[in-house]
Formats: sequence, structure tokens, C-alpha cells
Amino acid sequence: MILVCGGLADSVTELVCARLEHCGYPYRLLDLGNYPAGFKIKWHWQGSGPSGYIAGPDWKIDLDELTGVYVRYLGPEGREPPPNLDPGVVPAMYFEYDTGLMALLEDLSCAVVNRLDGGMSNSSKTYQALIVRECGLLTPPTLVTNDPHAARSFYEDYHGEVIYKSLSGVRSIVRRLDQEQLARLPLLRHGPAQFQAFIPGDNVRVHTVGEQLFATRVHSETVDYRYASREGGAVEMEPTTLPPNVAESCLRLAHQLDLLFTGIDLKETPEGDYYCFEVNPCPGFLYYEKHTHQPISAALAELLHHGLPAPLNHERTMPMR
Amino acid sequence: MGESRDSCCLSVCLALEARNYPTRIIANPLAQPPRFAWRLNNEQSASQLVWDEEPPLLHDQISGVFVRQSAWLDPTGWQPDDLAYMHAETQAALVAWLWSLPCPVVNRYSPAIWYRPKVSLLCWQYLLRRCGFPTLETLVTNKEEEARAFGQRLAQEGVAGAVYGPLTSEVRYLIIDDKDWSGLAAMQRSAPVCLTYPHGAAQFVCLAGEHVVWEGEPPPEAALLDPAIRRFGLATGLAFVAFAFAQTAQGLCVIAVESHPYFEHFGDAARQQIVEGLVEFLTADVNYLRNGAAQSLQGSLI
Repeated sequence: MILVCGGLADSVTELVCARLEHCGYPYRLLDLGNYPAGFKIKWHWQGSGPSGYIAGPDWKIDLDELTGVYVRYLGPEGREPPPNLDPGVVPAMYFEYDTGLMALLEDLSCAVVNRLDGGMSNSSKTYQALIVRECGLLTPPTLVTNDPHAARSFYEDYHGEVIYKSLSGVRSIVRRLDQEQLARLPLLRHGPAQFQAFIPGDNVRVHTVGEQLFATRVHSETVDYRYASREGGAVEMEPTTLPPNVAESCLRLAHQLDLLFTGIDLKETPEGDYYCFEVNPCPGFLYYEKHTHQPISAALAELLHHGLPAPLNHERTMPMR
Repeated sequence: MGESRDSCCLSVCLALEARNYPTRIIANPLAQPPRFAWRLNNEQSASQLVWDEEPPLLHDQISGVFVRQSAWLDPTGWQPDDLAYMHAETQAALVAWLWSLPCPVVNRYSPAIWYRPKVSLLCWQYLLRRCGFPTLETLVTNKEEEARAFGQRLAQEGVAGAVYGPLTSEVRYLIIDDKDWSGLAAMQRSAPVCLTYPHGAAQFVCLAGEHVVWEGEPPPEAALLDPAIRRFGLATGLAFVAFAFAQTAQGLCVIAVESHPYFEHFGDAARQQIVEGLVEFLTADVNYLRNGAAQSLQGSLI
């Protein structure tokens, strides 16, 4: 039995459910848009991992029945506020709900896509860059600084081919450092920013699902293809094949971060080098599957239904070095 | 990294200086006055801090870092959204930078701990068990009958009441009489509740480098607990971490994990040992620390 934790209105969660349905794999949805309303839970720790159940309106599953869990947490916008509660305490209640669920998922022995601990690395792209290096992938030349002179010097070293973007988990649009932004460099004294040498080439999005890997080449003229339509650009995608050493590094990266499902952002340069930008622990893979028909959700369904293959199952790694 | 008002920070600095290690306390290396610059690529990781009129402090000139607080930003003059963004950026840069340094860092927090420093004890369960800690039986439920049944079982064992506490706060309540249980049931209509056994007074113990330091006389179980504490330190990479133990109807159990230990939980004698352990760790040969940790952890988890 598979447990899907997410929002009905979330298109990625919807796709996961649809794929499980299509594969004929039994699953239950813990609708986080309403949870805990409409559900009854009992999670019991007694000297070992948790036992107990989750019950919905017309179903009940024991925790030891689970072969896999897929979770996609919701922000406040995707949730129905609990009735009869002061709106002021609602955010604290959401935090309480999520904390309990996280504690459970961290301690289940089945496949969990994904446990929170591994995903926390995504809150620091520069931390991920350190692990990316260890896994044998290239990381773009990067500067993190609060020093305008250091930023200017980096800009000159790379002949003005420099981009800037957030280094935390806060989503930002990747932009080139231009004259207008150069004039604002003195503001860096208020706090650090991340600059990177611009890497030319094609974006390649890699989804790792357990030991499987799906690579998608993205053709776009814009610096950040995710926002291409906003900038009047077009995006084309096609399945692609990675060199074996790059594929192996991607799987090693996912394993090192204790992530069963990842979206890894690569770029292949005209010289054939692969640079890695970040690892997304909760990838919105719908966008890529829709364009390329790569069977990402089918692989995910298999993983959730059959559980972990033996090499991944025997011991969970700590997502730290 | 911390404040000179922090007695732990200050004690470690004084002990280092007594051993002729120059020290500097800074609240946030990524905020002015210092100028911070870190270049990273596949060939190098080179960072420096520059204070006005001083030569640059290069990353390989830093022989140890003691982290007492994550970087603090003065909110003055910031719009709330901008402050939150800059806080996130600073935290992200700092956790990575600490990992990039070749010297001993206490603590070199994983992002999971860095971003969730006060996580519920329940979130530590998996690791605590694997390291060999005795853990308390715990129930999370939003079903009134299950909560009541748990309370009744405790009563049959002669335990007076159950302890309720939100997972996101350290506040705890003893649930004893019918009025308490009815109140709890009302709460369950809004959220699952977490129930566990009542416990006696907490006794604190701290891992400081390679030292396990008990506040007061160690309990008879210390011979079993000390190895578990060391395993926990190795598994998490925490060289400075504290635990609270307490007697319960299920024996001595861990009731709290502090990834950012409160120095105030320890008396003078224990504090002195803690500082010694931290100073030893901060001044130890890095290769010794790496090799020793790798060998000790191999096969030691349960």
C-alpha cells in the first residue's frame, strides 16, 4: 500500500495519484489541504519504529502495510484553515501538523520520497555545490561575498560573463550581472550574494528515481528557461542520454543526500562538460514529463509500490558528510 | 561565532588564549564590518575575511571555529520581506562556508540541524534508537479513545497521568484527571496530540569533543549511555551536543536533545570539563579527527 501526502489541487501530486491509479497500485491520499480534518491517526513508538495507522473517511491503513510514501508539503495557500480556530494561531497549527508528519516519515522503514533531512540541503545551494564536487560533477566558478570589490574583481575575471542568483532555498530568477546591477554592488555591504561564471550550453534536467535516471535536454535562449515565456522566449525539450560517468555522479549525488527522487539541474557546455547547479528534493517533474513523455511518474510509481531495492534498503545514510 | 556575553563562548575564548591561540568573537562573519569573499570551483575553495586596516584572514589561517549562534542580522532599516530574504541568504552562505573550512568546526551542522535547531525529540527517535539510547514510549493521535487507552494503561502500571506537549514547543502538561482528559480531547479535534510518560528531574550530560561530561554524579547507567552518546556525536557530526535524561516508569530515558547546548544547564565543574573538551577538539590535528571519527563510526551503529 502506498501513502501519498499532498494537496489535491497540486498538479504534481495529482499526477502521482493518476499514475498509481493507472498502474493499478493501491494507494491512499492523505490530503494535506485538509489534514488532520477528516483523518484519524495513531502513531505509536515503543522501543522501535512507529506502529499504528492512518484512517481516512472510508479507509484505514496500518503503517506496516506501507511499501512507499510520496510527500509534497503544502504552503499555507494550499490549505483549508482548520475550523473554529483563531486565524492568528493557524500558522502554528500547520507547523505542528507538519512536524508530526515529518517525525513519522523520518522513522518509517519503507521508501519515503523524500525524507526531510536529505532535502534540507536545498536550502543552501553552496552547500550542495560542495557535495556536487565530491560526487565528481563540475560546479560553476562561484563567488559568495558581501564585498563590492570582490564582486567587481570576479566580474572582470570572467569578462563580464557573470550571473547572480539566490544561494538559499528562496526561489529567484537567474539574471546576468549587467551595468545596472554593477552600480548596485555597494549594497552588498548589507549582506552576501552569490555570483557565478555564466556557463553556456544546453540545460539538462536529470530526474533520479531510485537507481533509475531520466535526462531531459532543454533548448532555450533565455538565461533561466523556467521563466522563458515571461521573457518572450521559447523552450523545447527532448530526452537525452548522459555520459556514463555523469549519470553515475548524479546517482551518487542523490544517494549521498539520502534522496530517492531528485531533480538535478545540469548544463552541458559546447565542449561537452557537464556543470551541476542544484539538486531539487521535491521536483516538479510534471513539466518535463508532459513535454517529453519520459516515464518519470511510472518509475516513481514502481519505486513506491515495490519498495527499495536491496542495496538502498539495507541501511539509511545520514544526509551529512 | 557568537556573543562575548555568552559565558560558553567567552570561557572557550579565554581557555584558548591561555594556550596561546589568538581568538576573535564575531556575531556574523558575513555582515559588515568584515568583508567576506569566498571563491569556489572544482579546483579550489578559497575564502577570506578582511577587517579594515588589518591583513586578510585567509581560510587556511583559521585554525578552528566555535559556533554558538547562527548569524544574526540587525533588523534595523530592513523591510520584513527583505530581512527574511537576507537572513535566508546569510544562513545558506554560512552553513556552506563552515563546511568548506579545513579546520575543526564545533559544530559543523548538517543543513538538517542548522535549519531546524530545536527539533522535537520525536524527530530524533530513529537516530537515538540506532545509537542505543533508551527512548520513551510515545503516542501521537487525534483519536480520543486511543489517548484515553494510553492513559488507562499508564494508570494500570501505577503511573500518575500522562505528559502532553506540543511537538513544536517545550511546554509540557501533566494530564491526570477527567477534566484534563476532556480538555485534551477538545484539543484533539484541532490537532493530533503527543503523549508520553511522566518523568523525574532531568539530569544533563554533554558531549564536548571526546569528553562525555555529566552534570553531577553520573547515573549507574552511564557505562551504557556514554558509548551511545559518542555514537550519536559521530553519526550527526556534532562535537558539542547535550542530552537530558530522567527516570521514568520505563527506566532512565532520554527526554531531550540539545544540538545547541545550554551552558547554563551545567555547574562550574562540568563547565570546566566541557570547555577543556571543546578546546582540545578545536586545537586537535584535523587528520586525527577525521580518521578517528571514520573508524569509530564504522559498524558502531545499532
